[in-house]
Amino acid sequence: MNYLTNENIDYIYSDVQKKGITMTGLLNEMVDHICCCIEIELKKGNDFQTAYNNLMNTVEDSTFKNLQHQDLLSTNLKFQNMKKAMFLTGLIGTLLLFMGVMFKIQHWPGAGICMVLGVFSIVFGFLPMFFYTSYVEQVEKKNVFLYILGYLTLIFLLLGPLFKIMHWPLTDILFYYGPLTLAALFLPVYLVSVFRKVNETKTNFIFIIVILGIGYTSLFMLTSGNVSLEVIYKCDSTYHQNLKITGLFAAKNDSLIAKLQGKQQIETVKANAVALKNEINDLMLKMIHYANPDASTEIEIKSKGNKKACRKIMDQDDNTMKLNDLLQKFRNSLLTLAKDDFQKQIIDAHTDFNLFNNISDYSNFKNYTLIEALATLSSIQKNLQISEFEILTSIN
Amino acid sequence: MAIMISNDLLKGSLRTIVLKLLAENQQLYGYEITQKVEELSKGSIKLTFGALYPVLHKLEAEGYVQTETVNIGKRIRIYYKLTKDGKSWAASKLDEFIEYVKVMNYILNPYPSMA
Repeated sequence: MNYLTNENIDYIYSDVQKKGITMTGLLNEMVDHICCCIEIELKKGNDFQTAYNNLMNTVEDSTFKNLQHQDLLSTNLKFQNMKKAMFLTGLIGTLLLFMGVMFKIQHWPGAGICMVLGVFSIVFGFLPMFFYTSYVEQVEKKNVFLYILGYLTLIFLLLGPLFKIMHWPLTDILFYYGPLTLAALFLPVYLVSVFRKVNETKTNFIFIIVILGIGYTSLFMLTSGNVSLEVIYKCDSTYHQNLKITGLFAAKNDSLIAKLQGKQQIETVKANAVALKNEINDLMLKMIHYANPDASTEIEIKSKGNKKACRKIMDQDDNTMKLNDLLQKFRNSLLTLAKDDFQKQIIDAHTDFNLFNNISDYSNFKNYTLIEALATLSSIQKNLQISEFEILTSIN
Repeated sequence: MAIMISNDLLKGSLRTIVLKLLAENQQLYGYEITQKVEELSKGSIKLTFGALYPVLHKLEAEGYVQTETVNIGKRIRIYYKLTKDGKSWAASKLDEFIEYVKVMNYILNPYPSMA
């Protein structure tokens, strides 16, 4: 005996659909369930509408939406697998990052690759999945913007220090401006959404913990940003070799100038060269002295990695401008003496120091450690001597 | 009147209840399960569909139960029954749960003679 008419069933279908069940399988099952409940009431003699309304009064409206949501999550194996992958990449990334930082502090080889792999697996593995899953898991969707902003902020927080430590380009954008802008955008959006829904503390907690954790890790990375011993040794040998070659050419050039004494052109070149060489020597000595206040003859390994010396000295008394001016003057005075295009090219190649013309290169230079700065400055000096030699021999 | 068991308490044991019922019956549909539970618990447990169906569907996704669709007029009814895997898994799960109930009993009632 059939108590429910087809119209009744159609009515239930459309009402349940309206209440938020959109998956066909679940909808069929729900409708059958509700029909069963109502049939009992109909048997007792109630009419359809009262029975249906009574039943629906015992069920909160959100139940249907929640049910479909729960159902989707618990049966969606892809989603479950994604969560597993998320935890895995998060774990591996954190371990690699931690290992990299430890290696870096100890000046062991392999620190760079560990940190790069760690940060990349967090940035491109863990974080996207984390934000995606925590977004999907919410029944009432919060601002998507918040998730995207949170993700971007964390990317910058992680990539910035990494780029800085690895001396990669774009450090300025990633390290200084990116996080600042994003944090300025993210915090208001986040706080507003928190205060709107004070009771949803669970996801907020995870959010805060993750953000704090990653923030601290990046701070840790930053403080541990020592240059590896490999780099120090390499720069050290370059520095000493440069000094040697500079010395050889300087002696030769001095004797050439002595021979050419009296020529007007030579006098300007000589004056410019002396001023420039003195300036560079001065800068190098100041940097060494800054990092080694005790003024020992040999620069200690520790102070070779000094990160402040170069910035400090270059920022002092317009040193950068001065150096740049002197370089230009010297270069021009040599170029006027060049006898053919080939020689011009040689001079050009030897005295083209992008380092001080190009803003981003320069800000990179300022972050050099003492020994890196010394290697760079001494190679400039070497190039100056070589180009001077080229011109002087051709005039002779 | 029997004390109502809250949904929070039920959450962890709902799977076991469903497995037990499916192990004892050839096949059941959702509403039938809620009725049987109410009957067996003498009215203490009233399963809502919001709690029941996610459990059933998860069991299906994991391969422990299989479904059969039957058309009843305009309505479509879905029957659940244990798969082969499900049967052996249910047996071990039920044993585990009985053990759990025993332990809970010790903990909640350490001096039975005084109770």
